Amino acid sequence: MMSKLTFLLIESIRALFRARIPAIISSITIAITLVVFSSAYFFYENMVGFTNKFTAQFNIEVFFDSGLSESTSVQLFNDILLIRGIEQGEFIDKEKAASLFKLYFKDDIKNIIGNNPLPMGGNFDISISHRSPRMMWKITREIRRMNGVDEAAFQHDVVSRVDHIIDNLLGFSLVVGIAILLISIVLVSNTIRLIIHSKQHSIETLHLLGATNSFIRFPFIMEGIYQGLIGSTMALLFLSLLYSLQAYLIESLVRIQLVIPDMMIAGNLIVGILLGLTGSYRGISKYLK
Amino acid sequence: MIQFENVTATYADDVGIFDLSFHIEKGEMVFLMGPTGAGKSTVLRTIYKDILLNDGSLYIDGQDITDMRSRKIPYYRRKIGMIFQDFRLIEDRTVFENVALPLNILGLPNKEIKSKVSEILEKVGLDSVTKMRPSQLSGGEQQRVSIARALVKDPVVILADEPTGNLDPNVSDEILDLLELATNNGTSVLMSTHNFPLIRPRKKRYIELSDGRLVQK
Ligand SMILES: Nc1ncnc2c1ncn2[C@@H]1O[C@H](COP(=O)(O)OP(=O)(O)O)[C@@H](O)[C@H]1O
Ligand SMILES: [Mg+2]
Repeated sequence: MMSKLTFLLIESIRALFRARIPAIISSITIAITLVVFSSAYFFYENMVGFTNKFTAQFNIEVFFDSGLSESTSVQLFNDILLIRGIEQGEFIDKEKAASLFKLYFKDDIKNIIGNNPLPMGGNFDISISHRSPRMMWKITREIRRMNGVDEAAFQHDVVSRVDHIIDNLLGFSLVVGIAILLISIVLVSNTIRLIIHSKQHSIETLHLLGATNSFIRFPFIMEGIYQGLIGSTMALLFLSLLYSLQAYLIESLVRIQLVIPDMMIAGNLIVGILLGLTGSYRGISKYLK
Repeated sequence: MIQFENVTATYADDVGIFDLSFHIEKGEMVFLMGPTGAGKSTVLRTIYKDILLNDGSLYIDGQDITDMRSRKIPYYRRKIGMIFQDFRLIEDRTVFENVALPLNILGLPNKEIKSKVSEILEKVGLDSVTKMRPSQLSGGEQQRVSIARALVKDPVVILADEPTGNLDPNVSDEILDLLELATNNGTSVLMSTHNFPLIRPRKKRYIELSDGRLVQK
């Protein structure tokens, strides 16, 4: 059993070197797929990370009825905190409201009106899972229905715009990603089929000598895996080059620190190997009865 | 060792082999005679399970292979040696690797493979060309490689389909010598040919086919 495995492994490496040109073509196809995929993912992750930084847009401002006592207000504030989708909140008492007023209007409200009529209220952050216009409307309406709440609002135009951008990005990269993936699988299996086609005679002979389909398939599958490994290594080298270039150009211009998503290396290796694997499996299947 | 009982195998209504019955003993060498298109290759293909039977039964080495499931065919083929007119060697492998292939398929340990292959290559007189590619050899040498590849697994049966079809008469005789030698170990040999003068001096039994049917003598 062991000797059969060593034989087949050596076979697959020899096969890789014998069909050098198609193997290189296959590897490059895989590499290009991975580079496009990774870049798209890289920018998508950074965009999402970037928009998530504007947490200010994802909060709901609540004003209580002006007659409400301090203790009822606190009670109400705590009730709102319990609503699903609310991550945290800041209680705004009369003092805080006045200082906010002063911050915006550069004047003390007591100087203008004589006393402080500003209502108490709260500022509530929305958890990431609920940051869509639909969800935020739902939460806002729920808050408005509560006793003692005068008004609750969020900047829905900003939210829906950000939400729209993320949605589009996600949909776009998904469609492009799947298209690239499919094209790549077809390309890889076609190049492998090209390799196999020239070996059709040998495959027939192997069948006549009593080789099973898996015995014949194994070296080709391994070849696909090697091509995936080579392809993903090429992709990673190119991506690191691209990243240092990007750091040099973009980061020095706009002072945005772009982060490399976790799993970039592992992801590329895994997807690369899977591509090679599926490609070669598809390629060889046609020739095995 | 090989037993045909009323075997019919057809490609189309009137094309193929029909109602064949014959028997070949263990260690016997038998020739399958007949002009081109008589059905010789078809007989051999039924034995190595390359085509299905329409009717009749087929026993090899005591095993009923009439309706063998396709999953089992590879394992069955491992005890059958096959030799073809066009040699069917694998071009990008050395002589040694070609002969070792059946043993790689069997999964024998490397050491055993080495000694068996060396031994058989010496037997067929090819021990000086083990590292060459088939294309670097003459036709007769290539056919000896394919005989070595068939012999190396100690087959119960050797099927040779016009093995001398591409070779000179004196080279053909050497090939026949080698095949006859194989019967000493109890291997049965069934060889097809349309060259009667070649086999006549050997005084072996032969089965004659015409239009897919046995010619009664
Ligand atoms: N794959 C095939 N499909 C259809 N007809 C075939 C096929 N192979 C052989 N035949 C026909 O079957 C008959 C017997 O062929 P074959 O066994 O090859 O004869 P031989 O080997 O004696 O020359 C011939 O008429 C041939 O044309
Ligand atoms: Mg024939």
